[in-house]
Amino acid sequence: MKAGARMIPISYLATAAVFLVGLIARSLKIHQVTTATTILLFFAGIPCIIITLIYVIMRFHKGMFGNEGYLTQTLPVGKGQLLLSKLISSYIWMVASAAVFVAAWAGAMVVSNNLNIMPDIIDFVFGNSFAPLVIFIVVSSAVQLFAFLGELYFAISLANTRQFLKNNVVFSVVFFFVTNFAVSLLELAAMLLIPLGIKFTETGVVWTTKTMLGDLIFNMEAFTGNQPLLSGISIGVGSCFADLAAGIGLLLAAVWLLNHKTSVK
Amino acid sequence: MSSLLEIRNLFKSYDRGPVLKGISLNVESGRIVGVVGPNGCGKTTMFKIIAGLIGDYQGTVLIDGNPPGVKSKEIISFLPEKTYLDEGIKAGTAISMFADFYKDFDRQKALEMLKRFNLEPGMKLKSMSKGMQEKLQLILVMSRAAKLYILDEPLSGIDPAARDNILDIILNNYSENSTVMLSTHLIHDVERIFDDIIMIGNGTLLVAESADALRERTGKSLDQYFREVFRC
Repeated sequence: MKAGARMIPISYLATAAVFLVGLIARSLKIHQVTTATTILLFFAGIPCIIITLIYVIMRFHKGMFGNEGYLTQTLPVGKGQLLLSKLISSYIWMVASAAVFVAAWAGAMVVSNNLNIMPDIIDFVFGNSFAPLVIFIVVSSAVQLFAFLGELYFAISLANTRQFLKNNVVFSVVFFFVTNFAVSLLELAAMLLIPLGIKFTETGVVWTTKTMLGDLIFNMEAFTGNQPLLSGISIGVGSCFADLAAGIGLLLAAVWLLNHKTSVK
Repeated sequence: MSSLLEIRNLFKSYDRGPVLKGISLNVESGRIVGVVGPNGCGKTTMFKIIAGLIGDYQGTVLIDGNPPGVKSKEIISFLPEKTYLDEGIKAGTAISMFADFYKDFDRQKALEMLKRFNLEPGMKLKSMSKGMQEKLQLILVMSRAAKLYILDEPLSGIDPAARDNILDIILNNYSENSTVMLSTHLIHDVERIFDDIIMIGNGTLLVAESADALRERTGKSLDQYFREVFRC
């Protein structure tokens, strides 16, 4: 946590500084600066997330398999506990960066004075379904992030086994993309085929036990164009279960690799 | 005396080929054991397996009756060849960190040793010489009340004057019930402290006996015998 505490908050502070400059420019009616800061704020979250991601990857690789591994892997704690501690700190940083990303977008709306049109846009697109949709997005993103970290840790651990140790960095990247592709397929299949989901109606969101695939086909023909865009659409929550299962499975596999197959160079 | 470390038929291979080829040995409690052999003979690999840093090996390794794992790590204090501390860390912070990590760590003892070897708690690792860094890491390792100390090349890159300091730290800070396994190729400088000697060549065990018995049997010092065995 300490190393990240030095690196990541700088990107947060930079985002906050841009927002502050934008606010001042708006109050002083300096339009060029207001426009520039609005655009900057729209993109400011991206470097925050990239920096956090690099930090998460480097901390795991260096902390477990670099020179630091000589300390961490000789501590009198289980490999699962070590992995869990890395997972918790990485998760916290990733959530914080995602929050900064969202806040930067909100900041852009404030600086560009467009915050007041948001309710209309939300009403047009989501109708009464906005709040439940936000809850769904937050929950599914949280589970997706868990699976994503599982993919990362598994890929890096696999790349540090005997067969791949010489080119562990290259193999970490390859294994991550392969794992990520496999999990994405699983996630998509679960979302479309597991008969459990949430359905957007004109009055709000209801649970449905129909598959998303079946609902999609049915609603394509029934869409009239007079209701909110999402009305009648259902989203399968099977993807959340798939992500959860994939995350747990990959983390357990990473622990097994750490116990039986990996070597500290 | 009881067997603290038991190794049976230990095999380990890397891509370049086998490194350990069926090593079997016992190490008793209360001994200072020199582990010697030429570079690449498998000393470090064996230490890393005992310390729990390498999981894919064949054979049996038992430390106080337990395979490498949480229980064995509670009683092993390992000094690797590499510097594992962050270069920005201060000596005092490293001591606090070890006190948090290990319940058998003696903070007072570490601070006293730090003072004795002219190291300031506020000194950062990156501002220290190689010898000072080695001393700090050794102080951290030897301030634990461990049953087994594994010291991998603690004298490499250290000037002769500082070598005596390093040996002092080792000799003055291990208890009589614990065992020190120390690898080195500077046998001449340290052979006086060894109770037992383990000699490894090309991944196989060549010698595992008491240092005195070896001297008596061969009529040579350990250093002379080492040079004779590994003469090119």
